[in-house]
Amino acid sequence: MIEPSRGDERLIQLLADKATEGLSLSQQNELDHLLAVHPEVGPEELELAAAAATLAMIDVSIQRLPSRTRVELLSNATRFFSMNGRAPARPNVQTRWNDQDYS
Amino acid sequence: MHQHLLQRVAAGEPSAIEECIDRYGGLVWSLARKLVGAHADAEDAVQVVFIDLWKSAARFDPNVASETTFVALIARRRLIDYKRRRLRQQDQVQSLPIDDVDVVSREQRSDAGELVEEASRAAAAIRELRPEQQEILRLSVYDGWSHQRIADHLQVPLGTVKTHVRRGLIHLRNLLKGGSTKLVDQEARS
Repeated sequence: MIEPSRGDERLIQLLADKATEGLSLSQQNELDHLLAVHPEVGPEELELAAAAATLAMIDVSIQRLPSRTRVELLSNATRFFSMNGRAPARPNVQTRWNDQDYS
Repeated sequence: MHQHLLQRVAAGEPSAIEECIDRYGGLVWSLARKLVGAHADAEDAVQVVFIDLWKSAARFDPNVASETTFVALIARRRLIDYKRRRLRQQDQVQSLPIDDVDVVSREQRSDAGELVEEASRAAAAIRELRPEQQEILRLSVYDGWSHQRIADHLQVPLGTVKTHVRRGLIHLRNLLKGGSTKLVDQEARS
């Protein structure tokens, strides 16, 4: 069980803020420092909790990715993996859905 | 040995990249529309999320979280950053209702099984929270409201909002991690 001392409350608060609102640069630096002091606390633990909560709440309202965005993602992925020396993706520009929501 | 999709992405496997976009594109897009708002901004934000996903894929550890949760984590982090940048630029972000656009039913989703299981575990954990904690967590985590906005809306002190968000997340985290190490909220113990 990880029980932060009263002085370490700040660490937990910064983790919660990061998971919900994001942090300023100075707050992120402060968090990095506190995490270095407390290696037993995982830096992503509350972000994972927030992600899981999001999945619970979004469950019935997943939207389709617009086809143009999908094509652009594939194109950017090709560039990214080529630049990083890994096998490039071969974009399949054929749209999977005939969605008309991007016009 | 079974390889997770993100592990195949990390290896640069071409088919995995397209599969990843098709499996998680809808989830990331939905989060972008919810947290960032305007269509054009959401399009930009989705590109940012996936670039970070390509970079982060090698960090995915199935022993820590499921793939869907990992993707949601990366997406939330990048979308929150994106929203903060946009807020600084324009001092205001327009939010669109999520139910005015094309919605894919649960049955149509290729990843429905994993999403449903993940969602139900998290939902069960959320149901254990007090109603006011649930509401504040929803406004913060799902609707993307700032703590100050929630405090103003509910007419409660900012510190109360922060406490509920913190305790709610700690509770979720502890329940989702089962019997492993627990985080303890200092104020809750006293």
